[in-house]
Amino acid sequence: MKANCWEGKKKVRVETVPDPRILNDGDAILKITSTAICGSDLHLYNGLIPSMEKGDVLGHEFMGEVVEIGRGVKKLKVGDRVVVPFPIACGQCVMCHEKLFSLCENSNPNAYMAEGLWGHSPSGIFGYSHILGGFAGGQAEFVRVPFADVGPIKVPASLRDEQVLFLSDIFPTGYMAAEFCEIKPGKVIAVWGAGPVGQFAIASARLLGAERVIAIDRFDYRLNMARDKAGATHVINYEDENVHEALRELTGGRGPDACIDAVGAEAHSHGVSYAYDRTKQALMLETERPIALREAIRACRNGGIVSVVGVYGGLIDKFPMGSLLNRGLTMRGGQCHVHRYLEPLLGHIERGEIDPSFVITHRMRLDQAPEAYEMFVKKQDNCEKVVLSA
Amino acid sequence: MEARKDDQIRNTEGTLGARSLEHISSSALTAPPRLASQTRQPARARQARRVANPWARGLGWFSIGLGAAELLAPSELARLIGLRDSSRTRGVLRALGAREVAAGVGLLLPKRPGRYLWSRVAGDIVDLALLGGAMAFDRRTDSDRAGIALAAVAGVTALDTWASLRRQDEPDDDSAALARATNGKRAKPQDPSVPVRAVITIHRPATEIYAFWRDFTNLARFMTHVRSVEVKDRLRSRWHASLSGVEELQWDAVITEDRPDHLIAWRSVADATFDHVGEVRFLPAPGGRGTEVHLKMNVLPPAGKLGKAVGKLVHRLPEQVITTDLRRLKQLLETGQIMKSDASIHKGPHPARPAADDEQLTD
Repeated sequence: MKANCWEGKKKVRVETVPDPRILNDGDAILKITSTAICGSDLHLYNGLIPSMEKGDVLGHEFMGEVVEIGRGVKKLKVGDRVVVPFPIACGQCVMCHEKLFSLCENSNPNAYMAEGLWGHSPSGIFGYSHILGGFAGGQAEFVRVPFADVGPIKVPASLRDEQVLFLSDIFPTGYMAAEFCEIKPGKVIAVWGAGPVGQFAIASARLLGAERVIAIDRFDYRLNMARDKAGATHVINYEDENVHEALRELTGGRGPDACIDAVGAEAHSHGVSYAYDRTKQALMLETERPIALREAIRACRNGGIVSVVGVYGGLIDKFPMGSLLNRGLTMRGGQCHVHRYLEPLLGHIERGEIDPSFVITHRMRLDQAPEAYEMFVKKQDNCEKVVLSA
Repeated sequence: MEARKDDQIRNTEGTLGARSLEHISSSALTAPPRLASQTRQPARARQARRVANPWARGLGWFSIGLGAAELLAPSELARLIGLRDSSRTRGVLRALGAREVAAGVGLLLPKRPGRYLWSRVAGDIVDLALLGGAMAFDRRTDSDRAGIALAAVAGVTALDTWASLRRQDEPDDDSAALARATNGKRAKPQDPSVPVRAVITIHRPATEIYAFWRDFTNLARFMTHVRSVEVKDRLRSRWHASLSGVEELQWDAVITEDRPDHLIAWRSVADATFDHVGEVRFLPAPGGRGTEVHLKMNVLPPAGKLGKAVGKLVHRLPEQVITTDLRRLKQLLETGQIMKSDASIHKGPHPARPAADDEQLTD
C-alpha cells in the first residue's frame, strides 16, 4: 500500500510499504477513505518529538471502511464506516474505566520509554513516535486499529467524510479544552492559536455558552475564520497589538476567566522572548518555546483556569509559577480522551449545530502529502487544514 | 491500613534478605529468568542511544564554547554576568573554564557520555553556589546581571539533569547496567547477589492473579525469555530459557513458600545456571482498584565455565525488563492479549510500519 512516511527532519515521502495485518484478536483493518494532517504532525515534521524512526508511517486523524476484523471483535463488522480516535485505549484498565482514555495503561508497548522521559506512560497513539508505542499511522491506504470494539465509532451514511473526520482528534480536542474552562453563561474565554484545534475550542466555547470568546493569532486569514466561522466575538493579531493590554481592554482590566493554549511547543512571537526561546531551543537548552503558555498564564484573571491542549513533549523554561500560585490559577491539560466525546459531538453534527468541515482549506491526494506538509508548515496559500484522500 | 502495608513490605525485605544469604550458596533455582531480556535489550538500548546522542552532543559543544570564553576572556565574562573583575574572579573563572572544556570533550567522545553529563550537573551545582555566594556576600556584584546569570545556570542545570536521567536508559557498559539493575546500589562484596524488583497494579482480584501465576506454565506466556516451564510436582518445576545468541538455559526450581492468594516464593535448586531466589506478593490496591503485584528477586551471578557469560547477562538484568514483563502480564489479564505494535513485534528497532511477510518477528 501507499503510506506517508517520516524520513527525517522536514522530510516526508509517500512510499510503498507492506499492507497491515491483524496482530491482536481485537484488531480491525481499515481501508482509509479520508485522513488529515494535524498541527501536531508538524512537531514531528520539525523534529521536535524524540524517538521517531526513519520510515515511520505518520497520521492519527483518519476514517474509513472496515475490511477485516480479528477473532475477538464483536461490535464491528466488515463494511462498517468508522472514525477512529487518535489515542489507543483498551477499555479494560482503571484509566479507561475512569474515561481517561488517552492514559490507557495497556496500549503502549514502549511504556518504559515514556516512563523514562515523563515519569509514567500515557496511552499509545497512532503514527506518533516510538515513545507513544510505535504504531503505524493513518496517512496511508490501510491501517491496523487495535481494540476495534473500544475506539472506532460508526457514522451514518447521511454525513460526508468531511463532516465527521475531525471527530478523530481536533474537534474533541478543542471541545475538551473548552470543557476544562468550566464555562457558564457570561464567561470570557481567550484562545491562543487559531489553527484547527483553536477553531474548535472557540466553536465549543460558544456551544457551551461563553459570552465572549477572544481569538489570538498572527495570521489574519485564521482570525477571520475564527470570527466568521467558529464564532469568536473578538480577535487579536499579536503582530499588531500587545496581547496582554488588548485582553485587559476587552475584559475591563480583569483578564479572561479562562485561557486556552491551542498552540503548544512551537509558538511564534516577536522581540526578546522569541529570540530567547529560539536560541535556547537551538542550543538544546529547552525543548519547547512556551511563549503562548506564559502569556496565557499572565493574562488569565485571578482564580481563573489555564487550559492546555497544545502539544508539548519535554521541558520548558521560565515557567511563571509565581503568577500561577499567587493568583490562584488552575492549570489543566492533556491529550484528548477522544472516546468520551465521540457520541455527544456526533450528536451536535447530526443535529446541524456545527459542521466541522469549515476548517478545511485544502483537499489533496495522499501522494501529495509532502507538498501538503510543506504548505501547512509554511502557512502558504492561507493553509488551515489539509484533508487527504487515498 | 498504611501502616499495615508498610509492615508487609518491610517484612518482605527481611524475608528475602535472609533467604538470599542462606540459599544462594546451596543454589538452584527457579523463577522466571529474566534472562531472555537480553535479546531485546541491546536493540532497545541502541534505539534509545540514537535518540539521546544529539542532546549529549549539543551540551558538549555548549560546554566547550562556554569553557573557551571562561578561559580566554574571563574579564569580559565576569562583567557580563555582573561579577567584580578581580584577579581572584578571573582565576576562578579560568578554573571553571578548564572544567567546562573537559566535560565538553568528554561528552563528544563516543564512550560513556552519561558519566560526563553527570559531571556537568555537578559542575552546575558548583556554579550556582559560586554565583549565589557572590550575590549574597560581595556588595560589588551587579545583582541584576548576576541574577540573570543565576537563572540561566539554573535552567542549564535542569536540562543537564534531565539529559543525564535520560542517558540512564542506555547502559554504557556492564557496570552501568548493574548499577541500574540494583537501583544504584551495588551488591556488597560479602553478598554478591543482585536484588531486582518490580511492581505493577492489575485490575483483577488477587485470587485470579495468584492462580494464573501459580500455574508456572503460564509464565512463559508473558516472560519473553522463558521458553517453557515443566511442572514436575507440587513444589518442583523445570525451566527453559532462551538467550538468543548465547546458550539455552535450563534450571530446576522449588517453591519455598506458598500462601494462596498472597505470596509465592521460590529458589533455584543446586547447580542451577540461573542461581536466584524470588518471591511475588499480591496485595490489595487502595480503593478496591485491583491488586498490587510486587516481584522481588535476588540473583547470584554464577562462577565457573558458563558463569562468565551468564554472569554478564545477569548483570544486565534490568528492572525495566522485569517491569515490562509485569506490564505484559497486566495486559494479558486485563485485556486477554499482549499488546503489539508495528514496532514492538520486531527484535530490534524497526520503523512503525507494517511488517513484510518474510520479516522475522518475535513471539
